[in-house]
Amino acid sequence: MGLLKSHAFLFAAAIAMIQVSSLVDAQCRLCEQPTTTAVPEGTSSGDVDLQIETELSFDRLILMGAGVGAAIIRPDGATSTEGAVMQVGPRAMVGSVLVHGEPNRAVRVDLPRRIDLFSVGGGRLTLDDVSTDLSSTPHLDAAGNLSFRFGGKLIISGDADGPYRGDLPITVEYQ
Amino acid sequence: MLAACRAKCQNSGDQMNRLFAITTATGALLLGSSPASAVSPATQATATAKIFKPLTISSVQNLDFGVIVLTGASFSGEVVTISQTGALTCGSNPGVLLTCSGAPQPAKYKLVGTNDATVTITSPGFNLTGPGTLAFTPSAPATVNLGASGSTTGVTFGIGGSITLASTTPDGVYTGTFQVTADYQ
Repeated sequence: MGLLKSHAFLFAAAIAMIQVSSLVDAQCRLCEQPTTTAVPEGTSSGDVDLQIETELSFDRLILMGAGVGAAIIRPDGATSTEGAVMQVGPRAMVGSVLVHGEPNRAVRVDLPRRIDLFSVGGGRLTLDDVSTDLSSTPHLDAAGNLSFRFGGKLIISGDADGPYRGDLPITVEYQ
Repeated sequence: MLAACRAKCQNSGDQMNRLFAITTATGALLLGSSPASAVSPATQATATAKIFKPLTISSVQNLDFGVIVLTGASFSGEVVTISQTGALTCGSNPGVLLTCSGAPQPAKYKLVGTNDATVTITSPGFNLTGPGTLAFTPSAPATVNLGASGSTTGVTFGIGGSITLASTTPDGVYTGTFQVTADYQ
């Protein structure tokens, strides 16, 4: 019975140590000198983050009539139009992103394939075929950086004039 | 560090072995949560576009300085100006060096396009030709807003301008052609 109580006590103690890892550390300091080596400056902490360098902008699109059309910006920056869209503005820009993290790590980048753009008046357009110039196995370079560009196909129909805007969430994680 | 703990504490017996087996497993779990699963917070890029109807510009009326009589005996550098709204300035001393009459009017153009869109207007200088040559400097608005009825009735704007005369300017009729460009801002 005493042995059982002893086991119960030890098990409870173990659970307490699992839940409060700092207590484990405190106990271990009795067994060994703790190391307090500073992380060298410039060493990656393991986080991966990304910055939007340029937003995707179709600038101004001239729509002939009320038919269906599309404006396309490819990740290489090339633009084209289809259907009722007559012209993509000269200041159209491809989106670009800078990822930073641990050098040489493989990463996975997630973007939605389709988003909606909205106008103040409640109009809605669809940005479809969102694509990037990433390779099939993207890696951060030796400096921990990875740049990529993205574009898409903006589909326009009806009497849709006005300014439109939509959000495109992007996440990156280590593979 | 955990391995060092276990090495020392194994001397306390089987129960302590079990305890540290658990803590070692815990340590392994803690070590297992390495940065390898780091995920960036979702960052919002934006996509924007401005959709416009085709913009049309058409001439509504021609600019006319009216009749200008060179009344001064000898002068130069007298500027005759007509504003975008049609107000005429007849040199520096009207009625003495120059006399202006007739029905002066500015040029007028009509724009039709997207409601409330702002349009940039450009009109470079050019020469009026006739018995001689007169340099004409247009005065156009930098921008025009199409307003709430820009897609239906559109909006009309004026372009004025100026010429510089001297007592030696050959008399006669002078004409020229505007080049006006309108583009969505």
